[in-house]
Amino acid sequence: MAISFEIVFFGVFAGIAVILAIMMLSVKSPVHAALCLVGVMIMLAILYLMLHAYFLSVVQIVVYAGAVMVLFLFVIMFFYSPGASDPSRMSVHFTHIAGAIILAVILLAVITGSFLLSGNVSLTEKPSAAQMTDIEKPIAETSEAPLTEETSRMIEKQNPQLVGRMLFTKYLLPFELTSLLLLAAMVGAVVLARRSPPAEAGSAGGDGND
Amino acid sequence: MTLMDIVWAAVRAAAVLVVTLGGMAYLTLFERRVVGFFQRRPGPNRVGWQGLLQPIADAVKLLFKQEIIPRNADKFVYFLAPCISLTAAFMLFAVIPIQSNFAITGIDAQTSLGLIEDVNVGLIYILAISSLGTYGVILAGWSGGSKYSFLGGLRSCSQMISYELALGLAIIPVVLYAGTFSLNGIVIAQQGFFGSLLAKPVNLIALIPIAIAGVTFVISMFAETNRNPFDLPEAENELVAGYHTEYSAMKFAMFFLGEYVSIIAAGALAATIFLGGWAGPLWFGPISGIVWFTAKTMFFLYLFVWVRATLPRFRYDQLMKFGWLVLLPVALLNVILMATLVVFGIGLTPA
Amino acid sequence: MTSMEFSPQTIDFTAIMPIIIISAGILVTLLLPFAAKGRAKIINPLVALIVLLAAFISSARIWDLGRASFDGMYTADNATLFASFIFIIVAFITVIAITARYCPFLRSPDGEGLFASPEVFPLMLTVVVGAIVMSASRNLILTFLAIETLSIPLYVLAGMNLSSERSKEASLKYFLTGAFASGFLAYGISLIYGAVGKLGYHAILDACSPTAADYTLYAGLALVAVGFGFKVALVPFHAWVPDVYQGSPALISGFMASLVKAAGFTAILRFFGEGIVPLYGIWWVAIAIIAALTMTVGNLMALNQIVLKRLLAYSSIAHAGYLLLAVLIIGKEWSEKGVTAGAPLGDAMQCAFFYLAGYVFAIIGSFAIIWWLTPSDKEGALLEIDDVRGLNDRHPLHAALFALFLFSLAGFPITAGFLGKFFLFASALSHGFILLVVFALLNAVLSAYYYLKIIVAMYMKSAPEHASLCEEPSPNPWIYAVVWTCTLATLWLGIIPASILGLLGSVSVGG
Repeated sequence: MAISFEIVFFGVFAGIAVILAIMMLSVKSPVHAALCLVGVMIMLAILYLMLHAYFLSVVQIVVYAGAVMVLFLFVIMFFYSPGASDPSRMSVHFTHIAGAIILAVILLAVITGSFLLSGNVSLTEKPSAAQMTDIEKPIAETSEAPLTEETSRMIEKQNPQLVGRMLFTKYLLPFELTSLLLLAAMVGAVVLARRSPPAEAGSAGGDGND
Repeated sequence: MTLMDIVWAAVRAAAVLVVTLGGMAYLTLFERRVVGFFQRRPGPNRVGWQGLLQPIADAVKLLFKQEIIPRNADKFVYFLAPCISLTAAFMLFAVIPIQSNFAITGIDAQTSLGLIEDVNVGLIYILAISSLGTYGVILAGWSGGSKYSFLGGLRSCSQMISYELALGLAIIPVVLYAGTFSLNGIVIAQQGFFGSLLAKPVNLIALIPIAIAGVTFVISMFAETNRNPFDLPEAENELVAGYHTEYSAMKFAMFFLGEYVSIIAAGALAATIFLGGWAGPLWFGPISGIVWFTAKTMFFLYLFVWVRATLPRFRYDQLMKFGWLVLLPVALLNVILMATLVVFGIGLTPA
Repeated sequence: MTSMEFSPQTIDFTAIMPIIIISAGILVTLLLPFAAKGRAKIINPLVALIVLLAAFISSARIWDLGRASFDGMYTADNATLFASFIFIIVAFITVIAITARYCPFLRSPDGEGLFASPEVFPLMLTVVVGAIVMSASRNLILTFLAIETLSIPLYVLAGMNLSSERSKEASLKYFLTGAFASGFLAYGISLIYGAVGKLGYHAILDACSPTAADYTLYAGLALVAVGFGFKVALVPFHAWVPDVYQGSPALISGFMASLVKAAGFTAILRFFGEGIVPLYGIWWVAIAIIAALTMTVGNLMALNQIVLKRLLAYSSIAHAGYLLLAVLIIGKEWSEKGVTAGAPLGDAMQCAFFYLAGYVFAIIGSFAIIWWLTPSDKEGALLEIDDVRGLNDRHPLHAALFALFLFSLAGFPITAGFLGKFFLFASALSHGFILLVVFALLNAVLSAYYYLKIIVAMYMKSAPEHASLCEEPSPNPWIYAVVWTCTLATLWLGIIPASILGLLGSVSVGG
């Protein structure tokens, strides 16, 4: 396979993501670490873009880089003025590096091993119907032939529609459950952040007789 | 993708960059002259005919000013912040359709001449990039190492986050109406209002939620670009100069650039989403798309300046209250209204 | 799987009716506090109780029907329903107990934690929804979200005692370990998705083949197992339990120890039994080792504890170890016979559910007693064995009930705990886990030591000079109701097990 632009771009952006991730762990200032994480998020979004998952890519930026990390920074900045470094950040010890390398080797072995040993997955082969993901399925079904130029173009064009349809039909239950989850999280945050229990209404005063 | 494609993309990007920068430079002049007009004074009129060379003089001045970097600044972030501000502002232009292909070739109305090929996530992209712009402000405020700039940064950040919600919700009715996130698709969906081209008959009831959305959108955009009456981040009499207090010379100029570029982008967006972008009632050859687009953008730019010259600044708590208790509920109800119209098919043409 | 055109008509609403009812209850209880003042405050717990009752009835109505909704993603088979009954009853009991401390006019001078925030009720209902969905889910995404829905309100509930530093600490510790566990779970799920391309348990079942090794899948499964391990506190992942159970208000500790364990084990049984059972040959060794470790470490650590809540926390870890036997049994049984829809659940589920039912009442009862005995100026987190010395002389009823719950936890006859252990171990024995059962029996003997230590302190030692317990635990009908319910359930399950076993016998895998 000739080296296409895509592979080059993938190498560049994935490489930047990895470097930023390492920097996030190693830089002294917490604000810098948070910024590196933002960078990782953006690189991931670019990788999604290259997979033609436009909607996911943009949502990745809106949610993680645009909302979550801004609030992170907001809090971090209250505690650290410029130039200060986090004293609680661990200095890197030999065992940490050794542990990281061992884990990395294991993960690499797992991923390469799964391709080499199981033999039923190949990078170039078109996925069989059983292996097709949920999002590919409806498209493949409407067009019979799996993922021709035209269908993949359709995925691009109708990205948000496809995601939306999945969310509101097949994954409706998880979707609704998420709303419950977020509600609980919000209520919980309010409860815990409240300085003192709410003043006792009805002048009970704690004696139990009102 | 071939090399040619990449070169062509680069050329288009460069063209938009140059035009925007020029536009930005003269927007400053425009603003000063118009504000002067409102205040019954001439405004800058000495450099060149009617002050036309004033922006160039300003640029030269800023370039040669002394650069002061605070000693306790976080150098890396201090340099990064203005870059983020400016880049984010420029990136907004990537998805705005400037001209229809139809206008030139007369065949394909579905594609447009924006900076990048039309994708179906344009509007969310806008939200994403404008949320990235927040970083420039908050990082600038923090990295200077001074309390005033930090307070300015925090204020600005919470302001932008709060109004981003209303901004996002203001867009939804339009998406519901057009059925697409693509900006060009939205322009085409508005043909019935704003253009003879491909006109579809439209029931006017749909105009109500769209108009409310438009007002909400513009108000949020004022807040997002830190413009009057929401220019609290740089409230001079409280916070010196807000988040960019510690910046000088070219870095200050970059924030300045960023602010004006994002104003232009906001105007262009409002024109695209609510006034039909490149479409116009009158058709006069290939360049008519660009002309209409520019005219509509200019209208919004004038609105920006007009508001600045007229309205006083909000107090901070008023600003937050307005964002959360007025704008957000209105936008939310408006979404519900539009959804009802869509579901029951009132006032909408069949898709 | 045919692609069915989705429409609201294809959702089986009767299957998900219990969670719909409870979700509605969450919203109502969340909005009511603004209206309720003074005596009217009681409307909050009352609504919660009514909602739980309605959910119970709507669950009971679909018993034996084997309903499923959302393309089999959510199954309301009898296993789910039985688990739901446990969750709802547990929540019901806890809400009743909390009511005593929530309403000012009912407030007794004793009892730990104030529960002044009305949000405690919607949060508890959310936990129940999470638990029910967890037990019903046959899709990893849904399982993950259900676990989060269960956990997040619990982090808050653990910190509900706003005046106590320990409670805040418990909340934070629980949150951090929980978030860590979720990370494992999410990473595992993404690897499984990468390997299989699907998230449904049946799809995973089809993709698991014991012959062709797929190491991505294995890594994913291992990470998911670790995530589950954190949630139900299996041994290498148990370190958070003592601190969290000690710091939280005792009633909440009881709620966590019972409901979360039950929900976690139902989800584990489903995932291991219906999802990855073909790989039994690979995972059984790991599970067996973890089971042995969990019971042993739990019991050994409990031996030297002097704080009652910590002791119960460690003992609950040991119980999780016993329960893992059920996972092994189900794996062995189904890997031999193969899973078929509609087949009876078999021994493993019966034993596991019976054990869970017995355990749940005993542990809630114990924590309720601790809560009851704690004077309001003292933290239950500090109540030690020495404090209950001579309890029998002062409060014979409390001592007797506490002793009963401890006997049940230890597994003495005529209590539910005995039969639970008996069925579980017998079943494990008949499936050939001889070594493990010997190990478990030794552990049970070990555990008897520390349970008896408390009982000896209550009955055979004299009271300490300065009484650190409540002088007179108030005769509050609400708490009586709770403790007596647990007592009756423990005895009932211990003496007439046939009634529940008959119910469990008809439990089957949903189609």
